[in-house]
This record gives sequence, C-alpha cells and structure tokens, in this order.
Amino acid sequence: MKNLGFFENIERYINNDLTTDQKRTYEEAMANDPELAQMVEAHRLASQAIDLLIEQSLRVDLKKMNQEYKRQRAKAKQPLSVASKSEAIPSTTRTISPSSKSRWMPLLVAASLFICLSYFGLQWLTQQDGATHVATTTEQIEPTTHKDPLQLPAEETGTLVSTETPTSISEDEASTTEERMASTTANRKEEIERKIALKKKEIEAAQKANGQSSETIADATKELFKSDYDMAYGLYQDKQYDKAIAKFKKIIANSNNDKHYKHLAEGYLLLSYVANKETKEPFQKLLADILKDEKHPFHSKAQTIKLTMDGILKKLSE
Amino acid sequence: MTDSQLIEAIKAGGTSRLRAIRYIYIDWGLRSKIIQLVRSYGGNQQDGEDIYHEGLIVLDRNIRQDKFRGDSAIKSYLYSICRLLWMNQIRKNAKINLTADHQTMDQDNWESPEAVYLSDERRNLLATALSQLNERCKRILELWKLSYSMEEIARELDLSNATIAKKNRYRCHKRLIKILEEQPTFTKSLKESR
Repeated sequence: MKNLGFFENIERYINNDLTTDQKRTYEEAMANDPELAQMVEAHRLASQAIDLLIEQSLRVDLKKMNQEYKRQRAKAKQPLSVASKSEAIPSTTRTISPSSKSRWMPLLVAASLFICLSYFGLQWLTQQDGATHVATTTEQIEPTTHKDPLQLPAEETGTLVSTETPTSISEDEASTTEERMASTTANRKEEIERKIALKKKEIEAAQKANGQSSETIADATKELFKSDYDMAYGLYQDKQYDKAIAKFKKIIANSNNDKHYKHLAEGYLLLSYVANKETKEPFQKLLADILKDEKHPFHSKAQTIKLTMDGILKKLSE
Repeated sequence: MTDSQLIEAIKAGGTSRLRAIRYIYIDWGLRSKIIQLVRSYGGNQQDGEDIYHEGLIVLDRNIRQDKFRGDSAIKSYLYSICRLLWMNQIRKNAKINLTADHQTMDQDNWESPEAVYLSDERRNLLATALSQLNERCKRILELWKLSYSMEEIARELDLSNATIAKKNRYRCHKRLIKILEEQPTFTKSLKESR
C-alpha cells in the first residue's frame, strides 16, 4: 500500500484535491485505521515543514530585493552628477541637479545675503573712516566679497570630507554619498550661519554707534531672519531634526515682528517633533497652541496629528 | 503585470514566482507606505521593512495555497495583511488585548495571519525535524513544493536526469516523514489534529 501512489493520495487529501466523496471515504478509512491517520498527520507536518523552508528562502530573497530597492532609490536620488568624487572637486565646478536644488537653495540665498552684507559693511566702514568716497567698483569690493561662501579653504574641505556621517538620515534613503553630502551641507550651513551672525553683530554695533536705524539695516535684519528660517527648513529637509528643532525654537523666540515666519517655524517645529518622536511636553503645548489658532497655516495639519495620536491611544487602551 | 498574471506566476512557482514577488516589491511603491504605516503606529524603519517582508511571505503562501480568492486587489490585500501583522505586533509588545479590526479590512477573503501562522510548539517540532535533514534534501523538497519540474530540479541540483530527481524527492520526503514521526512531540500533535 505504501508506494508512490499511496503517498500521492495522501498529498491530494492534504491539499484538498480530492472530490467530496473521495474525501469522505478517506476520512472514514482514517477513522478505522490509526496507522493511516498517523501517516496523514506526518504528511501534513512534512508539508508544513517544507513551507517553513520556503519561507526561510523567501526571507533571504526579500533581503536581497530590499538591498536592490535601496540601491535603486539611492541611484535615483543621487544629488550630484559626480557622486563620490564630488567632495574633492571645488564647489564652483559642481553640477547641481534639479533634485538637489531645494537643498542648495537656502545656501544660495545665504551666500547672496552674505555678499550684500559684506558690501554694506564695507560701505559703513568707509564712512566711519571719514572717507567720502563710497566703494562701488568690483575691484574695490573684490578683496572682501568676491569669495564664494560655498568654497571653503582646502584644509577645511579636507576636514569636511573626513567628517563622520550624520546619524539622523533615514536608513532607507541614506547612501554613502548622500550621507557625506548631508554632512558637508550641514557643516557649510553652520559656517555660513556663523559668518552671518558675525555680520549681524557688526550691523547692530553700527546701529548703536550711529544711533541710526536706516531702512537698509532693517531690511538686512529681515533678510537675516528669513535666511535663519531657510536654514532651519534646510535642516528639517535634511532630516537633522535635533538641529532643526533648536533652530526653529530660536526663530520663534526672535520672531516678535514677523508672524508669517513665526507660524511657519511653529508648523515645522511641530513636524520636526513628530519626526523625532518627541511627543512630550513642548510638543503637546505647541500642538495645543496651534489647535487653538484656527487661522494658523498648520491648523489642519495639527488636527490630523491630534487625530492620529488619539487613534493610537484609543487602540492601546482597548 | 495584472493581479491575475501575478497570481498565475506565483502559483506556477519556479522563477516566475520570484519574478512576480520582485515586481510587487520593487515596482508597486507599497514598501514605503507600509513603512509609513508602521512608523505612524510607533515603529521604526526596520520594523516597517520586517512587517513588509512578513506580509509578502503570507501573501505568497496564501496565493500558493489558494487561500486568496482574488475578491480584492492584491495590493489592498497585502496592505491589510501588513496592517494586521503590525497591530498584532503592537499587541504582543504591549501585552494588552488589542482586537484586530477585521471590520476595516476591505476584503471578504481575509484570513488572519495568526490562523495561518503555526504555533510556537509546532514550529519547534518542524524546525527540529528539518535540522536533521541534509541541505540537499531540503532544497529538493523546497523546489518540488514550489512546483519546479523534475527536469528543473535535476538541473538545479546537478542530477543526471528527471527520473533521478523524482526518486531523490521521494526518498527525501520519506526521510522527513520518518524524522517527524520519531519526534517526541509528534504523538501530541497527532492527538491535537483529531
């Protein structure tokens, strides 16, 4: 009885391939024959064991697919035309791809601002020295302003290339090149931010010294504020949430006269908290504040966050 | 690929099955949605990837075993599997009784992964038995269950022809059954099945 055909019949029974009549006959036979019942159970277990093997193999294949998926994503997101060699190439020769435009925009804005501020600073210094002549030609401005803020000195660039990769980048999206790029971008942002802060102090000092509050200085201060926001938003986009949170907080604290940027900073601070999984006190208060203000641009977003959180809590309490 | 083509390919087994799973994995963009779902319910990137993989394993098995009847789109079926798997994981982690909201599932042919999953005890029994089987036998049985033809199995395992592959498959299957019957927990399993 226990030949190849016998095994195939058991297989057909286990796989539900028998007709209703055949199935009934088989079950009656099993009820009267414990040995047959034992054989069927052993076959059923063997079938499950082989399924387990298939699962294990598929798990290995899925890991490979995961790697392939990540490689494809990294390739699609390659921000520069020259990938790994890009750090060694001066920034002026780099090609900025459209996808990296948003990441570089804050830097470009900051760079332009830096040039403008240097120009005004030079003008002010000229006036301070009692000189009636205002430097207007490129040659006169060049020594202090022609430097590309993105172009760091050679030794500085060397340091940036060897900087450790940031940990805040999502594993899914991070490729080695992207991590290095993010690190470089963050460092350059900090460098520009430091220089802008320096210029800001100079403007403030000039304001105090002259007792004047010219439109130029007011505009420049406003521009600085905007640039601060752009940088914070850049950090948010780069998923450096800790830094973004600190920056947005600073912007909110200093934004008495600018409701527009205050609202934006509050909104992105809220989203940074969520992304960083910080859902305790400062987050709760901010969420409540935004929910109270129906005209807040992030009001509906805050409602969605509240609903999602309530949903999770409800599920957990069930 | 349409749903019916995917089902056909997975059922056909062999390389077409893996091609179909790869297509679902890479081309559907569901992976990021699942990761997003898991993240929104307190998980992280790795949890999301794991749940997506487990969901695909359940989907593959249910299609192969005709448990997916095709009443809904594969995409939403897979999403629901992953969602329930993650909810079960949360429940397991939180050690609280979170009931799976079957009502929200958008298909009639839903079968809980819990029902499909084996108990730990049975899984241990199977794993012990498999550990006593040689790698070659494991591979033959796996390919056979995945509907590879005997010619393909012979090619894959460097056997001289399909007849030898068939004999090997029979011998390995018999060996696995014998190992299972010799397990101390087999009698318990037999009683439970009655």
